[in-house]
Amino acid sequence: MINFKKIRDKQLAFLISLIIVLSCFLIADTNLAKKVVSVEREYPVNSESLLKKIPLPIKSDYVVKIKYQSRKMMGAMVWLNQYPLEMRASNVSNKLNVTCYYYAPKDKVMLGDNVFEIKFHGEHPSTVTVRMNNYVAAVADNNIIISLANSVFKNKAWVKLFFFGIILFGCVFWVWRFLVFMGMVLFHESFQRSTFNTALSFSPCTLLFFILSIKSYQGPYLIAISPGYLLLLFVLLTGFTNAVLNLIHVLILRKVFPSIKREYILPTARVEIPPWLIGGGKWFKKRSLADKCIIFCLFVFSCSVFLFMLGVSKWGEPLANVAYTSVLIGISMKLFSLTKK
Amino acid sequence: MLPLSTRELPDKRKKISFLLLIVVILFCIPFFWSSPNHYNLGGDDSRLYLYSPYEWLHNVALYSWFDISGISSYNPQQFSFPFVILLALLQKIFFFLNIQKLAWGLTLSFGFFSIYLFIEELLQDKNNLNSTISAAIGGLLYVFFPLIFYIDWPQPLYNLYAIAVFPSFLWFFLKAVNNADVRYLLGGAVVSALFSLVIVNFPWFLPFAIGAFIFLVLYCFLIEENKGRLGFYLLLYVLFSILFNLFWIIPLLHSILFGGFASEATVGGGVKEAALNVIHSVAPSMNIFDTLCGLLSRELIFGWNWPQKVIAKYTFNFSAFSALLPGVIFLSLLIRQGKVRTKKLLVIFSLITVILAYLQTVNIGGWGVKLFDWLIYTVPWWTMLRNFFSKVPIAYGIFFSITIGIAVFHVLERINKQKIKRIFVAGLIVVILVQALPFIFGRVNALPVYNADIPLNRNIIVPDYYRETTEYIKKLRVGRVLTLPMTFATWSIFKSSCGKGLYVGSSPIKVFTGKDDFNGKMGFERISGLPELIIDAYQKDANVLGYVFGKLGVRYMLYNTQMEKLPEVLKTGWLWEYETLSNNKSIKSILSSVANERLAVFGPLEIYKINDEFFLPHIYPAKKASVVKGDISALMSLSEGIDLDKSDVLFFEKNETTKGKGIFSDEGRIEGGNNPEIVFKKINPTKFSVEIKNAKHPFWLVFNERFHEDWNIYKTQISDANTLRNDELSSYSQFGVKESEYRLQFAPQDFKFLFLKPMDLQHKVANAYANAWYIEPENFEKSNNFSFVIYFLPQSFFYLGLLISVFSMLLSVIFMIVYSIKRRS
Repeated sequence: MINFKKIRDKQLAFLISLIIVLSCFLIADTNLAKKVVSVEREYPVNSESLLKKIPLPIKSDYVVKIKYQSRKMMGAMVWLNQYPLEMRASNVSNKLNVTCYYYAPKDKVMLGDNVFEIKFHGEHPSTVTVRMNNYVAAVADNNIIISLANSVFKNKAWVKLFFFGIILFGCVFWVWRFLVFMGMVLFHESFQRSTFNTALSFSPCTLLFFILSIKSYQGPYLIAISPGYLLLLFVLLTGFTNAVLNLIHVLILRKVFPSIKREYILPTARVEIPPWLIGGGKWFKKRSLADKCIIFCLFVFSCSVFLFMLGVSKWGEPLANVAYTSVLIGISMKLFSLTKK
Repeated sequence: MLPLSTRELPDKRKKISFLLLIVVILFCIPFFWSSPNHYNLGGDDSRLYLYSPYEWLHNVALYSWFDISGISSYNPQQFSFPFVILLALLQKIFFFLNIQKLAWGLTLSFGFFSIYLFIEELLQDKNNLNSTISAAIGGLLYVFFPLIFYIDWPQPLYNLYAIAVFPSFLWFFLKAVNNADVRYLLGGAVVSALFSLVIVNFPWFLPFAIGAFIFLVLYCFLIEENKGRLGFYLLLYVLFSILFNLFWIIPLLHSILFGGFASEATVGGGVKEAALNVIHSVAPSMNIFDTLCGLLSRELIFGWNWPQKVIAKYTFNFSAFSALLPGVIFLSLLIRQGKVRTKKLLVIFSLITVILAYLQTVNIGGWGVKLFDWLIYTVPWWTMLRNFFSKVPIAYGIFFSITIGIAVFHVLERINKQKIKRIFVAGLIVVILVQALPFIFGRVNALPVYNADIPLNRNIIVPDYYRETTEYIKKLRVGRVLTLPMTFATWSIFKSSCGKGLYVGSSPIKVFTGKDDFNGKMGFERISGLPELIIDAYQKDANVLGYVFGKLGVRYMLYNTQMEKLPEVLKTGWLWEYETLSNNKSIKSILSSVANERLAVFGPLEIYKINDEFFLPHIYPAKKASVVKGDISALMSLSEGIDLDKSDVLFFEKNETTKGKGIFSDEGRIEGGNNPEIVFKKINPTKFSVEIKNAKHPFWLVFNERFHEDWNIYKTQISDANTLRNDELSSYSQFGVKESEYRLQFAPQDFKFLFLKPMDLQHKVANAYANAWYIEPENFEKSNNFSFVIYFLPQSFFYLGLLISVFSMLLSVIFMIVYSIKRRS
């Protein structure tokens, strides 16, 4: 006899894996690290003009950021390989630095040495810092690149991407199966409840990848993400959401609303909290305050590990500070109790 | 049943073989980093003591009067000499090996071994396999600690050897306390004297000392039962160490207290403000997460485009695994079961690790930077930790690794299943080794020289033409050298004879030839305004430029034509500070105007001699003495309408209110006498022997070394000086001066100068930097003809310290022998 529940589960897994893989296909770039170019040079200036050669390893369109260190400079004209560059934006900071942004189109950029000429109006600056990026913005430790539509990131290694797609499909599918299984074993969920939680936990990632791929395909900017990062993001985001959903279900829904007949809302049967969770709770209650500080540190530190892995160090740093402070307090308390003894 | 000793033997053998294997593997690692002839040279300390220890010893290490370039100054370097002697010996014995790689291999293996021994000594459970494994993991983590190989290995300074030496200090002490055996204290003190160069690196030593101090205090109160013995042994240890190190402590203390380089570097004006500037610019790039994982802050590497960027991506990809290490410490703190001693040790070392993690990061929450600012303002000499991110890693690595060792032991004692134990240990070893792969395979050793964009590294073979040049310069004997193009920070640049190596570091001229090299800011910095003076002089008039060079004692110019072909990125920023003196056109113009004679060409190096009309001997009588209103920049105006004799001595008088800078004040003119006949000989950089004949009138004697009030004149017998005339090196007939041939002599007998009274002569700053004495013949017993020694007195403090150190070491050796015999009987 055919087991419809299992078929539904596999079909759902297949469908979600397909959506994720197709989305990733549009935004993943297997050669991302090799394509990213960011060149920065600082030059002292002694005259009214500056002529320098900057080698560029890739022919692409570039965003040129020039920082002039000057109080009295009236303006500057910039040429790249004798082609005048158009200033797109400028910013004056500290009344000392003027930062200007220029756009260098791909057809004016040469592979190898590019001749840069800057002519200053008014008093020339003491130093000039030139930075050339072939992208508009890079986030998460250069794992996500937002570039102009006409950039080198448009060309993809399709064969590599195809193989990555197959690997990703397998990963997504088996992560689904694994989470369903873990929900049943660790949290004592029913098969249906676990499948439901898993489907919910897959949704943020699926939505995110889907929206990003649509934006990249249709918008003025191109989004490129390294495959490893995509995989990491998927695993961490989905795993975390799944764990939270299962915990919420076990600890809050079942404890707070025991009278509600959840069978109508969620087709699940068992009510008991898993023994490891009860044991863990008891163990935690028995611990001293110093130990609790250290446990808290461990938890916060683990969270910051994930955030650092995802390249969002700005969020990870405050968490790591909290972890450090709590372990410092914990160890100090332990030391104090030792001296007392 | 077998006797106990027989049963333990196979295990002991296994343990020794296991340790020996690790030590040998670690020792061999540096030999695979580059080809056998390559030396990793360059940077502030140049590492030339590894390339040529004998020359370093001969020209640098033994004297208080030294500077890496420019005009020498009071900068005692004796702290390096025991280590350099050791290197010279090793080079003699292992002539077939690359001495640098030998030293580095020993650093790795001893680093591992000292941490291993210390953890084992702490745990006091030597027959327990868990103890051996934990100690080995601690040792392995220490030598492969990412923070250390990110900071201390790419540009290894003297402090590198602290990796092996600092933990050994702890082991010697603990072993002495545990075994109640004073000999270990003596052993530790001897090691401290032999590797004195790592202690004198105070910014690296301070964090270690902080950690060691906390350990000793807490160990004494929480663990040690015989507190009296611990205190007594600590006193003895410190006493022995001080006694054995007096050979450098006395000169250094004198230098700090009496205006030497050390005092300028430590308590000079503006140090606190400079320190705060550094902290506030660097600290925001630091984060505690990376520090807790044993990594250098990623923002520092990527944001500042450090050379480490080339390998950092690999390391940070594994940062999640590196986070397992602090995780093990935190988890082990939660284990209630186990030995009380282990738990106490764990708390003590965790606390030290956490405190040092703060010093390594500073940027923690809102309080971190504020606390560090407060420390800078409040604690004397805390400013030495201004570059905290590069000073704390070794100390942090030591205590982090010890903590990991103890934590692993604590966890292993708790795990009952062998399988889980094996997985746990294997996991840790894999994490340690995987994160250290760039270091093991030599990628750290071959990092770019300056920033991540430069395709050249520091592994070089010194080209033959460079050695030929230095040999040639050595034979020239008289006068100082100016290397062109001039670079910032005293640094010379030349390419390796093969491979992608580039020497970028302190000028090797001093080490290879014993001559001062003016190239670079460091050489000038202590007389501010000199580089600018040279630039101004160049822009004004060739005669003025020649005059300035003459006054500075510059005789030769070494022009490196290779510099033009260097990568563009090297020619920017700090390296090419003085563009005028770096640009080929202006260099050629300088050479054509003041140095017409090209003496020799070796490959891309050309040696020029400054025109004789500009050159001044090292010691000469001034024809005329004049007071100049203003500072050294007033020299510029001297060319304007004033007839200037190069042998005039100029005394600068800083008077802000005086108008007309650089104009002679009439009342300041002092008439000198007729030129007497002078013969002088250099004995060593701190001692010059001088004989004067036919001095009928008082005159100003100019001594062309940087002014210091401890340069003294001591009377000698005329017969002592007769030997000066036997061997003429150079003659300057227009001044009536002759210089005798010299060979540097190490003269510990000069210890006697401490008890001699110098002559009471008027001693002034001449030409804004040199020494000048007003010599009145009637002050000498035989007027007209007399002789004396110009001696730098602080050198005698070195001899005094050396005497005490050697004497106390001999005594301690005798004591050790007697003690051993008594103990056995």
